[in-house]
Amino acid sequence: MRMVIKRMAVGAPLLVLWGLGCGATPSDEPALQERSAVDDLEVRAPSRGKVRGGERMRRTVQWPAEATRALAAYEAFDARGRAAIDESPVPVLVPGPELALDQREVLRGPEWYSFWGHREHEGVEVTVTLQASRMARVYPGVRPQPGPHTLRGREGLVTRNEGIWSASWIEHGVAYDLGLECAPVDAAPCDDQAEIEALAEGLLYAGGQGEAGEAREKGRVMR
Amino acid sequence: MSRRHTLTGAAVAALMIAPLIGPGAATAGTPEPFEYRPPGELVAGSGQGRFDETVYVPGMRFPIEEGPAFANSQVWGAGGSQGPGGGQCDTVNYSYPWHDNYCETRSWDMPMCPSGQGHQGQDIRAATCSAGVHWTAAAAAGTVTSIGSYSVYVTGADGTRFDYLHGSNAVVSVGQSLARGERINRVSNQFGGTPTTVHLHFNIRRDVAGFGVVYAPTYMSLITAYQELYGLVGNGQGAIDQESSSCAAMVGWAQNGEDPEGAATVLVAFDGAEDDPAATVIEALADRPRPDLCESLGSCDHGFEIEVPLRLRDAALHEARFYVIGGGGTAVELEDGPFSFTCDPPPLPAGVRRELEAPEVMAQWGFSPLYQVAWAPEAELAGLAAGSAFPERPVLVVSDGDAGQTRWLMDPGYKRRVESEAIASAWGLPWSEPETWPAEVLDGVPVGTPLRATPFLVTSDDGIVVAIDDPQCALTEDGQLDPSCMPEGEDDTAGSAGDDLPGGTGGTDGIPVPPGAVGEGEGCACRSQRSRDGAASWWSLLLVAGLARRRRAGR
Repeated sequence: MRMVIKRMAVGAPLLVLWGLGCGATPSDEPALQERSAVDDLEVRAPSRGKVRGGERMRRTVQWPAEATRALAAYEAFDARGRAAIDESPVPVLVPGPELALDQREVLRGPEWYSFWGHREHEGVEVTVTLQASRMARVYPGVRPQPGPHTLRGREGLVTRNEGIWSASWIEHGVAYDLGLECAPVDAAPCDDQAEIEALAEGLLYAGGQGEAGEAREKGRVMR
Repeated sequence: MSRRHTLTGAAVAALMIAPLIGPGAATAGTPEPFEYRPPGELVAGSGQGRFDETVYVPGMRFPIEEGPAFANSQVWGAGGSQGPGGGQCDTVNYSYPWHDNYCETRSWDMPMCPSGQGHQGQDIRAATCSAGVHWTAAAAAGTVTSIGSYSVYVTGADGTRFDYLHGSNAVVSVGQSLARGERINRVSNQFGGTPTTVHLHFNIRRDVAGFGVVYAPTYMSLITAYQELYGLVGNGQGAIDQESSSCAAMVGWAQNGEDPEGAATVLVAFDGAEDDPAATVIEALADRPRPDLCESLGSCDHGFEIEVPLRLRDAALHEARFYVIGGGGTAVELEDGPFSFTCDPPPLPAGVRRELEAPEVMAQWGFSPLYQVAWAPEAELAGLAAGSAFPERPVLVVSDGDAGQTRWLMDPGYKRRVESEAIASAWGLPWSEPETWPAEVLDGVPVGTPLRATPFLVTSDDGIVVAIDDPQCALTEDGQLDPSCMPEGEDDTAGSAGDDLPGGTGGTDGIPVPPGAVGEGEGCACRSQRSRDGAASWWSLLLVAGLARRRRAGR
């Protein structure tokens, strides 16, 4: 049936045009139908679709001054972590080396970096996560709302998901997301909202690809 | 009134024969059809849900390896602390329909919930109530970015993070790359030493313009993923009309087999399949009269004519694939696709380029990156002078001393006349709901050029979006128009303080022509400037106006 419909869809207007061009009168019913379809197409502008998954828009990174970089924070990572920091497409914030963690790792993706830190001490497990993205999604009808909390001098959000604290804010032009998970769930430092806010305040700039890296990246991008 | 979304006919059959499909498909068939309550409809008394049919992650894989699975509340379900009694393993918890529980009552910031607070994700029970049996699976290809005592996070290439909570027996490590569908851990009841019910708590954490990183709604993405898991292909048909499609519009028809007389929903996936995370997917209705189809389809209104997005008119080759969403299953690709196109961008208008400094600006103005942002070669764009940053948000005002109710757009440093409702509409400005500002505040604001008839936004390969706008006269240190900007013969006080304006602010038939505002392409003594540094003081003016209004209201 599909092929028939397709042929009809393409063929019917051609037949009408052919008929008119030859001075013949096409049969009444099809001609009226065709005119009606054409009229409809003329009066209605093409539709605009609604984007599924949001419309992607890359954030413009505002790189911090090199002088603000905390070398000690950078040097707290192994070679793999340092390489990830160096190549990060967004400024890498990390907890300072004074935060006692058994493991700390930085990973990076095309549009993001993430920090993961973990410690287990006296029966309490603590996991710290931090991620930043430069790829935002714009959703129709979603209008900005200021976060009700102040994080690092900016409007931010603080939430607790199944016992896991999250704090998020926008800084250096990109969106940061800090997480704090404990086991037991309410063991320190997860026993007080102030702890994650303090953790956010203490984050240090460890590096990133910077404007020079962005320029190199841009040079590699092919349209 | 109760509304259920039910998979019928072929869908049910597919669900029941799923074990025969092969590896990765469902292995535990169920005699009952998959049903789900609409998104946003929470268990009664459990809070206010978000009625949102958006599929936030098209193409997502279902996060449990095999079905059946049951999305429902742990807290308000049987065995939950707020539930009707019973135990967590009651059969009612392991049966359809699914229930959304995003935004269920909680007391933490959730900006996308109607109340501003709520549950961050979706609770999902696996096929049985046994802990440590059923595998979770990567919802998308990505990297394991964190493993906590009861959490595993997987981050996709675009930064979207998928959270798996309460699992056990993890078989992944931090830094490991995962393919879509790869095993992560087993559904369990881990909760930092104190067990919870056996379930997967699943989140989508994403950077949403206007908020930053938030927990996005998961429910509709889970439904489409579940349909895919079971191979439930929707019942629909249609075709692309290649001959009639062009850079103006993409033309074709589609019919939903479950609703043969209704308007079918068509998906158009640009530069990838509809389940490709890298593709841009739009949905539109096939609802236009197509008399040529009446006889064959039994009804006529199945045509579609969809605009080629402005952003894709970039002189590059693009491919569009078309699908119809049939009843109760995944999208069906239409015949005679894909449609390939290469379209030239519109010419750049004259003016200065003003950067929209963040996606939040785009969201505040309600602009569409896909439909309202053109593309231009970088060199061509660089040839335009740089102007000040584009206003962070639209502020449309009238003066309380202006009987004519002249509308002004407040543009940092200036006020700019909005000359008609049509212009306001083109910019998304609330013509019928302007803010009323005190004349003494508005009068002191220099007049800029009238707002252009329509916005023209453009980007280049660097992704930075700019608006092409009129240059404005520079301001002096005290925020007034620079007299040197005046064209010859103009009154050098005009527009500087509004003291020549009827009502103190607005013009009558001749709004004061701002010095140098002589229209597009004409030269003047105007100097464009970047005013980022002055933005803070400008927004403080908005604050002053707001406070003045409040004082007046309090009198």
